[in-house]
Amino acid sequence: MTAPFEGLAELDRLIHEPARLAILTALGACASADFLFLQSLTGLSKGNLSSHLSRLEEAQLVVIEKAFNGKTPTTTLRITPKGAEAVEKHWERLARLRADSRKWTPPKD
Amino acid sequence: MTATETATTSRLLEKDVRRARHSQMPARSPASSALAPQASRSASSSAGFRSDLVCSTNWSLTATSVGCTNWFVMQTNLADPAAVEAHHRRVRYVATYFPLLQGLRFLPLAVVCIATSIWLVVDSRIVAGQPTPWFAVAVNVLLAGALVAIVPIGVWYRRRFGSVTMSRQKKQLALLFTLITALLALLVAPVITPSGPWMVPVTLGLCAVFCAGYYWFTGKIAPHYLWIGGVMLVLGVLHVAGVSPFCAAASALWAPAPANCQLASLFFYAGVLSLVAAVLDHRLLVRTLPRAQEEPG
Repeated sequence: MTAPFEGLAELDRLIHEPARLAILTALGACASADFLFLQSLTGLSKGNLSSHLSRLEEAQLVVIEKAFNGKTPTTTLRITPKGAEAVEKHWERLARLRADSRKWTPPKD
Repeated sequence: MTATETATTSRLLEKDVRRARHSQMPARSPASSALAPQASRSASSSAGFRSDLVCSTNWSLTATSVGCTNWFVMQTNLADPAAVEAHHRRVRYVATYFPLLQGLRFLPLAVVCIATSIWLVVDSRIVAGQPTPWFAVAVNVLLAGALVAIVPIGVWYRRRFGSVTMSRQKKQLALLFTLITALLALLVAPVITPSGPWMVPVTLGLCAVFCAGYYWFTGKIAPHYLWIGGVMLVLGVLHVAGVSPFCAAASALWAPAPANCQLASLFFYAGVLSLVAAVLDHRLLVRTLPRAQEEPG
């Protein structure tokens, strides 16, 4: 078995999904962001985004805070230290994997 | 993930590659496959073979470079790794500096600067050196209006794109950057006199340093700041050499007084370049934040 395959198998699918990766990357770069910003960022529908955020919250990668601004409900999201570490490691792993895939020579039949 | 699971997944992945070696994949535009499908992919993304993510015209693992890139593309959902990386750098940049990227907020201020510069060279009383008390009042009212307009534009941004709170570290960095610039401005202020020959080049030079610093400190994502800084520097050098593009154009049209012309030049350059920066910042924001999908039904 070659190294890139092993690296792929180690990828965290929860983080690697493109929309969730974008969410975590954005939240890692700021103190907090609201639901609408993440919706604009990912281009997802409210339902889809909610589903992704629930999965990230379950994994304790983000914290979801719901509050009322007057009569308007607002949802604010923050990344947890665990989430920040996980996304950082994920980017490092992707970079390593990409470098390995360049060096990789396919096996002959 | 256990060692058994890892081995099983790796075996499956290798099987995918072997299967791909014997098939020809359809062509797909790199631009369309790189960024746009990210969100749409999400619903159906799963481990395994995803032929729709292949962006090359030739799927051949015998050509190592092309084949390996495609293999990486297929297995990681990164249609064009470089483009996706660039996209995520933009995402990080927009999330970090979101409040500063709301360029349209500064549009009224830029318009006031341009209007003031034109007024300075057009008004015959100012040109003749007569007292014009209403000029200062009007400029101040326009300036106040532009500052007030920042609020509704900010509300529009919040409703359209949402809101982001900058991290404490970045806020401190922004404060430090502003303080250093202010200190520089205070140091060179004695050199500048409104009618002196150094007013325009020194101010433009300072602004150019500010633009280059902003570009550098914010991760080199917004190259337009570098271009704007470069233009300021060129204009500053031209003024040192005694060439003023704005004054030359204004003289041909309205024959303004030389002293007013210097001040008007500064307002004009500041207005036009702020306008360009504002529009390009807004464009960067809009390009990074697409419109959200509508709920079905």
